[in-house]
Amino acid sequence: MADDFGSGNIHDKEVSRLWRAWRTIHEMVADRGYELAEDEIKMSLEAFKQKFTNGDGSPNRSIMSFSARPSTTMIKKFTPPPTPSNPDPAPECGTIWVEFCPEKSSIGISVMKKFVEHCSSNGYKAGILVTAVALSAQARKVMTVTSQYTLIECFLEEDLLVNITHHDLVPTHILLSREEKMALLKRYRLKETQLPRILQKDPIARYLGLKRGQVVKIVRISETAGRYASYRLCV
Amino acid sequence: MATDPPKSILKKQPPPSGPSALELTGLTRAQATQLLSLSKTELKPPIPISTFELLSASFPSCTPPSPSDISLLLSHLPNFSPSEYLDLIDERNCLNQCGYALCSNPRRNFPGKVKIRPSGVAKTADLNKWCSDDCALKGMYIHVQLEHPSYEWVGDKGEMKVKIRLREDNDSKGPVEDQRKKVVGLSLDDDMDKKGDEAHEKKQQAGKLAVERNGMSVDRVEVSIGEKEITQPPTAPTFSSAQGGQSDAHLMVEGYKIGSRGKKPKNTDGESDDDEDDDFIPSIRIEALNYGKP
Repeated sequence: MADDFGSGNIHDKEVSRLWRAWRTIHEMVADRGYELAEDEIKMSLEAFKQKFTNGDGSPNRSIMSFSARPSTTMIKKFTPPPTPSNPDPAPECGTIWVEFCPEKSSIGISVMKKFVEHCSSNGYKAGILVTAVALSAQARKVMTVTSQYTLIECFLEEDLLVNITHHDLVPTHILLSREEKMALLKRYRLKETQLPRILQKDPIARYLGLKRGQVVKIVRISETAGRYASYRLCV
Repeated sequence: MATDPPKSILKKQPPPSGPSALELTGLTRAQATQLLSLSKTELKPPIPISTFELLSASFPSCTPPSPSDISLLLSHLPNFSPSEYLDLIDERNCLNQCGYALCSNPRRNFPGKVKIRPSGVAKTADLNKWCSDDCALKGMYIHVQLEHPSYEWVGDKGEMKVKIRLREDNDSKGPVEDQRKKVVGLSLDDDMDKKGDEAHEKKQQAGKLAVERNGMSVDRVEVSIGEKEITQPPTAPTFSSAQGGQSDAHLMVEGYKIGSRGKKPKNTDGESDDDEDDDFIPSIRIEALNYGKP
């Protein structure tokens, strides 16, 4: 805290918060399986300040956007198994677009529509909007309506200050592919509904961008068994 | 031997003229009535996003709002739920517009979290939704009508629609007293320069005339304030002087005995309203005794 106030510039606190959000969102995108360079993820505060601040030290959110392509392992995970009718299925993931919203007062339908249009016109399969303030109710609705063709997610800057997956008490969550899910259900002779559940709005589910019907494997450290795996179905 | 077939004594029924509407649907009557009653409780579909855009971005098109703007708003409003109406206010605020849908001014921008005003303390977030207090009144006037709807029949189909009225400008609404003041104030401006009783009387006359012409009747009460004359210096009441040395003088507070008013009628005739008071006081005493005990 002393650093935030000591150096004199009124924007320092905001910039350092933004830098933390920037790092978390990069880690999140990388954890989901997109390709990102190491130096992009682990950018230092000095480098961040140099790159994304104006002359007076205020952050410039409009240039803080980036896109990432899915890695080969992610493409493999998200490609449904081939069927006789569809021998060469297309992967269900594509390039992701991340943008920091410069709007500071409130975010309405118009801002949200602009973002959605930008994502769909440039062929992005997913989009993440990081905002400083909460969305209006109707803007949230725009987000869900358009989720058919572009998956839009929104995060608050203050929710991204800390990467929750780095916390001691948060176990590792691993997303299962379709084949893995089918194998799991077959192995334990389960129906989907017999699995424990995880909500889509759960912080970890939001971090991993889980969709309804996907299954995560949760690996906990156990004193007696060493590792203990459980599975949860996203609802 | 050929005989006629026996004749029925029952009334002749008309031949069935094709299957009825009910039979065509394949439902029993009970099911049909149940469906009908269910259709009445059906949830209204949500307001499409395009309507929000229409009513928020650059609406109304001119100031004061044109009749077409007003009719457009009134045609959409009955379908809004109260929370959707609040969303509309939010949406207009996002575009930095006044929350009242027929106002094209930008909203206020008070700094800080709360603001102290003559009427009390208010959150600035609430105040900043509007451009003025007048617009806030007009905007919330619609919200109240949506929350407590009164329905009107629309068209021949017998549809029920929420009746929405816009709050008129402050001149013809509000408490009668305010209105009267305003009318008097109007004529006051003209006579501002003149002084003296003559001008004052004229002003009052004009005000009265305006009130009469406006078709309002204002009940007036003559109030005369007079000073009470004091002949001797005040003295503190004493037990003996107040009640003439009665035995229960020790029960009196500042010269008055609590419950003494109810005692007399109780003795004369049993039924009395003051019984309630008597019941009330002992209960307080009991509570006071219990107070502090676990």
